[in-house]
Amino acid sequence: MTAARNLASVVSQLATQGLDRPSVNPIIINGDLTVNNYGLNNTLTGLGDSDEGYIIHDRLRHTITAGAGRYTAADLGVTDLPGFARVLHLDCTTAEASLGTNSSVFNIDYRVEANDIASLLNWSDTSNDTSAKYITVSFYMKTNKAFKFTTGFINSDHSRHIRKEFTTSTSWTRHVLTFPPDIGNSPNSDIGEGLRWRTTISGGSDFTSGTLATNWESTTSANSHTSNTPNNFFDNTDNDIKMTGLQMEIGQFTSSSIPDFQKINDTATERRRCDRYCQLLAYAQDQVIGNGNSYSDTRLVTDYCQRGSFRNTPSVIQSSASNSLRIDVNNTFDLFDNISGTQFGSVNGIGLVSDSGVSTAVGKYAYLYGGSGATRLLMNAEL
Amino acid sequence: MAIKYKKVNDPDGVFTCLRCWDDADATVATLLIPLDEANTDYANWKAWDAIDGNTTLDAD
Repeated sequence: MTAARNLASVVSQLATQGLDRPSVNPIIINGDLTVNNYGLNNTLTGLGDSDEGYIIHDRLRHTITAGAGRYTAADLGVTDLPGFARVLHLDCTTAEASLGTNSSVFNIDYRVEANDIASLLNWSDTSNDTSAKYITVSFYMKTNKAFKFTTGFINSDHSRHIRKEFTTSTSWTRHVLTFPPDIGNSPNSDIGEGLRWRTTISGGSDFTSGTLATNWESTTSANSHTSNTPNNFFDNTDNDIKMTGLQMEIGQFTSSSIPDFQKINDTATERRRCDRYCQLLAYAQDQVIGNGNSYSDTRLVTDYCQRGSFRNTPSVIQSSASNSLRIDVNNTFDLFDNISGTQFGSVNGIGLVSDSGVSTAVGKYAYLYGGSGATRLLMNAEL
Repeated sequence: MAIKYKKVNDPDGVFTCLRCWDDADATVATLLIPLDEANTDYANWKAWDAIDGNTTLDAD
């Protein structure tokens, strides 16, 4: 009996350590929020006036339809949550106790690339046996008071969703929520969005007027959030939220059975995983961007320093601040404001065109780098 | 919020990408969007451009 107990204990420990996971790496990239390319050298006050998108941590999206509420967001270091050093901090700066805009909503999203999830879920199996997998999400949250927020998934390829309520507290709480399979509605195996984890922290009546979708159904806004209070992050300027440790596991788990958060202790590996979706080229003066060739005296095309392949041809995100870019060319230099266009793009790179306000020398090589403290240039291929 | 989109052409007049900015908020980053169906910004532009009343500015 002792041997059997010992064996059972070992098996339990291995499961807790996640050694029976179907994938080597965590499904969530940057779940411990250690990579914050979007937040570096970025102004992050007065948020909430529009859809903010990716603004601080890689892969974590602030999806918003504006009401009157405003907030600041920060990448914050913490010492009161063992195993985690960085968190997302949201601080309400303009309150809107009663949401006057029915369509206003504040979601924190993580969009899983379909290739990374479809084969793990096995939701295409319609035999209704156990082969279609449950999915469990876990995260840590700490708030200034108890909120009832909602969380769940959107099956993006099939426009379906499922939601659950959870209650926060003033101390760090690990929230573990399990969702059944959406049988017969497998995400496509492609580079598009396969599954969207969404936590809603404020929602106008367009999102609360129905009944929470606790079973999979066609996405219906009215069934996305709950109207019972307190569920509104914007109801008081005292409100703040700290969150980290986002984790997704295939299978059914409780707070006692879910595997430990899978740390990728090699920081470079986690950064490389983020690189598929966003690469920060420069965020300060004198940071190298790339090498360019002068097509004419007023047109420069730069081949920037890309790391690996993107998910898709990337967009350019830039500050456009005055003199934020600089080239050294033909024994002189020039300062200018922004990249004016792109050309010849693929997942492996794209030409950065500068032909507005730049003075170069036809046929000459030019070295492009940050021109001021306001420089900010990112390549973005996010979902 | 006043999102604007403008086409960007190369010297031969070929449409190569889109510029996106917010006319009402200079702190919002400017985007250069490639013509790639898998690019989320490009998909957002197509949805925006399809709405009655929204007009993409022509290239210079």
